[in-house]
Amino acid sequence: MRLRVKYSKGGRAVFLGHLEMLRLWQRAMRRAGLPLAYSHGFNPHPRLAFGPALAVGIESLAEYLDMELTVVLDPAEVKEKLQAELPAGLEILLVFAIPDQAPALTAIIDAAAYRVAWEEPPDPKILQQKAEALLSRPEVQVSRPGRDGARVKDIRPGVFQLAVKPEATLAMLLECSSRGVVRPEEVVSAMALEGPYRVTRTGLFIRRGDGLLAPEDLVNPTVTGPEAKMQRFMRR
Amino acid sequence: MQDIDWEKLLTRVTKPARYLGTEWNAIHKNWEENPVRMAFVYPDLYEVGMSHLGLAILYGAVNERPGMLMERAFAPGPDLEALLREEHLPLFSLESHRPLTDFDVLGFTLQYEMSYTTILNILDLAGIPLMASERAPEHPLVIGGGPGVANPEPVAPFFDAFLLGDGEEALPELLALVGRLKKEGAINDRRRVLKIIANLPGFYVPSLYKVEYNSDGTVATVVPREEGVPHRISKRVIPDLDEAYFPTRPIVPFLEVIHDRMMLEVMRGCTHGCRFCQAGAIYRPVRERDLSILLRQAEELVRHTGHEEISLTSLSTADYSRVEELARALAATYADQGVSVSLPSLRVDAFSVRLAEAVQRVRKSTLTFAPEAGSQRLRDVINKGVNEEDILTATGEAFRAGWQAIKLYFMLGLPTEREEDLLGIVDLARRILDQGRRLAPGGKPAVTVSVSSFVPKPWTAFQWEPQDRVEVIKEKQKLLRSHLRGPGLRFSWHEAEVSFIEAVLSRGDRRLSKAIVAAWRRGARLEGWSEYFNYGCWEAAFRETGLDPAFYACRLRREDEVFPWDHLDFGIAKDFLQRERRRAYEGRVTADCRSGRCTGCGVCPGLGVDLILKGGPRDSAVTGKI
Repeated sequence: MRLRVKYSKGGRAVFLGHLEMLRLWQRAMRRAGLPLAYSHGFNPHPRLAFGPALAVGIESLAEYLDMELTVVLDPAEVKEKLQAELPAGLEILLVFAIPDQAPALTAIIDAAAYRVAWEEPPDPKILQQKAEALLSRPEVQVSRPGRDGARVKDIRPGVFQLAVKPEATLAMLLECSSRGVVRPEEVVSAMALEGPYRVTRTGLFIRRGDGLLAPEDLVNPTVTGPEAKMQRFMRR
Repeated sequence: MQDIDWEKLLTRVTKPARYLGTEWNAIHKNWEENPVRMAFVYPDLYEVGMSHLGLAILYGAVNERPGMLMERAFAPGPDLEALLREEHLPLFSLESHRPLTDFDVLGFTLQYEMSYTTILNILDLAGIPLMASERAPEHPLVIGGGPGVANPEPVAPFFDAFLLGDGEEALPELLALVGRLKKEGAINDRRRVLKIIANLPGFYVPSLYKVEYNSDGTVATVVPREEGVPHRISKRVIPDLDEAYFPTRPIVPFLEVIHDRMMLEVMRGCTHGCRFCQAGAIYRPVRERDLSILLRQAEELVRHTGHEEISLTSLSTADYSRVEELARALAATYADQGVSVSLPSLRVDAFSVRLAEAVQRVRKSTLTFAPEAGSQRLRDVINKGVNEEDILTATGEAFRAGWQAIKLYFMLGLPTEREEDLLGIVDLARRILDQGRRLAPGGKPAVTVSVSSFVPKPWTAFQWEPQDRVEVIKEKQKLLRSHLRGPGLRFSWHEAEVSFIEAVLSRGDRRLSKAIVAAWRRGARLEGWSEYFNYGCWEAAFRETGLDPAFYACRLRREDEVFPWDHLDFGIAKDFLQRERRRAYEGRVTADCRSGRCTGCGVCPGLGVDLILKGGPRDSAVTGKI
């Protein structure tokens, strides 16, 4: 059976990279006695697939992974067993079954929401002005280091929304898909904002018209409680 | 305790997962409730240190006891070191992220000579004076253990005490003593504390011993400075491993470490008696674990770690009496959980290959054997106990089973070595390659020859022998390189200068501590990594201190010479080693003591212990002197 897991990543766990997370989940599953399915072939690999990559050092309130088990289990039981085997900083928020044919997370997710909080909060008015200024620009060029030197890229089409929130934090909704990814640091630097800040990924979404769906909304419309609402972006 | 923003520091290093301390099964004991606190310090990077079984054993053995705690510390990567120095921050433990000076005891493991400069670097980063004599009562007691204590003299001035032999009982005893002394308020009388430690079995307090030298530079005597200090210190031995603590909840690293797997210690010690091998000497006698205990430990390991591979570890796992039953049982039990079994050290015989074939689910690309020498004459000199037929049978079996690549380990510079012995390496490699082409038609067989340089070690039959000079080693490497060319052949070798420094330090005396300090001051650290080893640091260090490295590495020692480690007792009788050396020159092999013939090494009667074998066809050990 296929299960989709939503979890948060905080504390010291933010320093774990993608490979470390892969190993960690596999081992947690083996400790929990959850039989992970393996691909067939010369070098079998576990059927475990993550959502869009998260940069090392960034906290997240909404990470996702899909796993395939060789047996059918109650998602609530999986959640409980797996949580007991996870190191500090990783918390499972939801576990739900998805159809065998459901598309991969990376195939459906196309936007990521972030919150940027400064150590010394800037003046909210200035923040607001800068956000508006950036959104009004037709083009926002950033330089990205690549294998053959830096490349210039226009990130403006991938900046979907910017909003100033209480305590002078900045909420962003940025493109995060197989076609392109805009990083929150790129936006901060394009806005010419200074000083040490902390980024939190607050959600991963599927854009539908003007609305946003979280992966759990898509396959499991019954999840409408406060947990699901809390994750909705820009609704206050 | 200094309030440091670790999080911020870790955002600035390349591998922050080395320093988190929150790995699965890491133990975070309450600081206040556990008044005796020790940090186990591995003087190398996290990935190396976390591959070390000794750390897992001692970490568990100490932390399971009430009133004491153990945390871990490792050498920081060069990027973190630079940050710590720039920001004037002390090196910290992983669990509580406290400075190392907060601990009562710092325990370094001495796994190899090339970590000695890293020990100094860690002490310096921790803000602890390098010399034990310069430390104040509030500084931690700095102790050392591991194979390096076979001759700890070159690093003796940096340590308060060394523990000889098995640590799982002795270390908690020491910590209990420290706890008592702390409670009595006596811990600050360092002189008294050291004298009490010197009387704990297995502990050597180097500052309580005086070394005198002859006019030719050799050691004349090593004697206690005062009354009430033992003349000779015997190593500790856990007589029965079945009774010993073993960690079945080891830490599961986040990062991929060098040996990234569960370790099941099937036995300790080795009976082969290879004449160059220090580990085979200092870990005697062989003590095997009971099969049923191992199966239970394996079950707990899998359940508590979730690792995908279990390794049957020991110095020579194919020798374990019940290895076949164990390996097959584990492979059968855990295959459907995606857990594979690995055998780290194959003996050079068909049995080992068949065993590897039976248990390895995923075919590893390369099979490795260690014939060690290229001719039968030289293999007999070193008492390797394999002949050419064994080797070719083993490799033949491997090719037939589908392995395409064979790796062969050899040593150059062994005593009595001649050019024909080196050419024997070439000949053997070519014959194995031909064999592969014959047995695996259509395949692409490859033979890799990996040649290290012989380093004479204390407690071996070759402890009197000179090492080849660096130029000679390089000549021999050149000879091999020129012959080991062509399709299917690969040749790799060890840096001659590294082997030379190892040889200097392994049989060195206390005077060398000055050179170690000088090399460290010139930037030497993390020298087990070829990218960090800098021979120039050592050349300058020897010049500056007026010490002649060749005196230690390349000198033929007199048979009656007093060695810097003669006051230590690892159970091996010096006259046994002399006898073995003479037999080496005569090309006579000495039987494995598993065969039931006692070779008279002196360990069992000297330390009051016995060989423990667990059944199986070869288990017929009886005592009887040859």
